[in-house]
Amino acid sequence: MACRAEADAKALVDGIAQAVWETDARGIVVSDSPAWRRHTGQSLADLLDRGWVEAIHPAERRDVRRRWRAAVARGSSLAIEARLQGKEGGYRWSHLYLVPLYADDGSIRNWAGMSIDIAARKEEEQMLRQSEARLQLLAGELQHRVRNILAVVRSVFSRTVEGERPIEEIAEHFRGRLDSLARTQIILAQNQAGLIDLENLIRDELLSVGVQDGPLLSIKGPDTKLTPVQAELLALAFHELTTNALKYGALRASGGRLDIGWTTNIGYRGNCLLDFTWTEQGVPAIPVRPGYRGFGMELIKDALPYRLGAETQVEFLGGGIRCSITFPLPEQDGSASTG
Amino acid sequence: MGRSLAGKHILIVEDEYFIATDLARALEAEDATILGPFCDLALALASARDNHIDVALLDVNLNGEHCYPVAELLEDRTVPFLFITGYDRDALPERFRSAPKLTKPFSTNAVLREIERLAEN
Repeated sequence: MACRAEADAKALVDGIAQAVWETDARGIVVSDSPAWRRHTGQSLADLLDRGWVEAIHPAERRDVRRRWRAAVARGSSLAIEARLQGKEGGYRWSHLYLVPLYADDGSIRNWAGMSIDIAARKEEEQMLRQSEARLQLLAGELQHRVRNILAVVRSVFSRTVEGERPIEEIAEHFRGRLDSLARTQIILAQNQAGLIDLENLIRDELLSVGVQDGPLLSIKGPDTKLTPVQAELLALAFHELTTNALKYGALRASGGRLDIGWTTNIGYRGNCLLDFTWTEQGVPAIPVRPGYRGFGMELIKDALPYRLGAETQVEFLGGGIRCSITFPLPEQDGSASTG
Repeated sequence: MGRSLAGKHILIVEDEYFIATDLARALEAEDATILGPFCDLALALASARDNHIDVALLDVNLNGEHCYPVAELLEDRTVPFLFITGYDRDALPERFRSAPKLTKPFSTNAVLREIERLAEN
């Protein structure tokens, strides 16, 4: 019966473990373990005495040796995780167990060692850690973006309330700018770390005020992608141009006409440049454009050059306003750095 | 209370145009001399190297680049600086974790107070 139980126990251990081995009472390997040799590729000579420790990854070897000795000295079992060399080279994470086996008189007769492969679990843990690190980074970037946009809104607000204008007008301007920033945030959120389509950005702005394609509006240009930073500022610029056109320009006057167009060209440094123009025609001359001189003009003439390295020009021609914006484009392959 | 920023040379490194110009305007109103604002690491570095500076304002993220080289250069020149950023302190590198910092969004007054404090020391 005893023999049967021992065979069962051995079958159980063999089923679970990669390798089992045996040491004497001092924790020294004195007999062969074919399973260990099969698994690690060590020879019998490698394995004997304390040689088996050499099959442990150098990073964990000292620690395993130290704790193994301590466990033997204490006479208590040990469980430790370490990478174990494989027959075909490389290391796999294993859980190593050392258990004392007792003689009838209660003294330790010898030690049984066992290793269980935990590579899959370690890999999952590693992936979880990586995913957690990514999430943490993303949360940090999101927080940064939220705080930054609040700071921008704060500045936009102070500029909008500058000057002596009726409160209704100020409120309307601020709401419009806030809505434009909000629309861009939605587009950016939908394109996490990606590039934003220029034409969509323009159509989104025009659609928000109910302006659609027709014989008096043309939007024409090649497929063009913008970075999030470019999209954020340009959307605000399109908003200012649209608001102005609705109040004083081509989108207000009957017979007014708006052409929005762009081309991409190679700059002198070999980089890709966008040449964008917003041209209004058929607008009766209006001597002053009060609401427009301030924020919108500063945005196009100063903020776009500062932030995007753009060259911009705003002209008031006979038939209406003409705005041109030129700036370097990102690589159009779909990857973008986050701003 | 009168401020003591008149004649002080303040370097502004901030990539958001509106935030940068708000700061510049507020400081100019105190008769400070502005270096910048710069939205670009290379320009900021050149200015930090070549000019007399009393206090510097440093946005941490400059269009995807970190401003730390500027901070290191200023530290070597023992020029006090103030980080202005939307990042938390633990997102900063070890070396700058205890550096003076204002979290965005901030009021212009808070920045002026902090600059004044740094300029006095």
